[in-house]
Amino acid sequence: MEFKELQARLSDPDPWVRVEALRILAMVEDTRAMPDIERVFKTDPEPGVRQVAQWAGRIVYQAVKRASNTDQSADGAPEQNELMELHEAALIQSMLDKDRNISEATQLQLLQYELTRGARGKTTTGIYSASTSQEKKPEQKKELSSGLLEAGLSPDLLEYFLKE
Amino acid sequence: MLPNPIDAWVRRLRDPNPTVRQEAIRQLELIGDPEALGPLASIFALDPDPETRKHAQAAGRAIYYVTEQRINEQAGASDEDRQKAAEILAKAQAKKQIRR
Repeated sequence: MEFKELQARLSDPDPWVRVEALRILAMVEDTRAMPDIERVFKTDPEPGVRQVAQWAGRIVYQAVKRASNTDQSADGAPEQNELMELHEAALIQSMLDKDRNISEATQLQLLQYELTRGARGKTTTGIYSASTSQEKKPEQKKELSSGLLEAGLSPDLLEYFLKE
Repeated sequence: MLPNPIDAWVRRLRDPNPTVRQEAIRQLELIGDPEALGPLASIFALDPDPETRKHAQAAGRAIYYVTEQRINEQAGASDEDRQKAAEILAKAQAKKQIRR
């Protein structure tokens, strides 16, 4: 599953496919998706999907901002640079060795790297800092809740989703 | 018909014990199958435990970007690219050693 496929899934007739694609794009913070996420937020027929697009858009937008800050300053967001290096390392390894066993070793390296970063207390991204940095007005929260409940989210999970 | 190896781990993503969920996340990342991205994204979005959400995100990103590069790699690379690639890899490996 890669970017083009996710992009296509944002227009899938099944709203759950669209929701899943939005969640994946938010999780990986693929900044290329920003225009598509915006489009879904503005034009999707399902209110629940629009709400998920809003959530995803906030997260990806933060990543877009961090990326443009990196461009402007010499020591930009160190995590962004680290991620770039990680991508490069993965690309390199897969280019040099077509043997599938080796590329699985790369995945192990990535896993170790990520876990080491986690152990040192560095988080990969501020997942919920995207939402905590902005105040949610009570009306917005209510709208968000009903949209998500409409989309089939269970009330207990909704509580966790909205807790900041 | 053989069962999909990731199905068992995807099921364990819903285990009430966060330790089990995190182990499932680890295993899915090791397997590296992009089919796991959807379930991992749900955990990232909805899991009650913040540590589990972080792990899901780390795993999801690793799988996603490795998959992307694998796809790019299939498009082929010139010798010059490979040379440059080797240099960047060496740099990245060196940095990792220093950090340790």
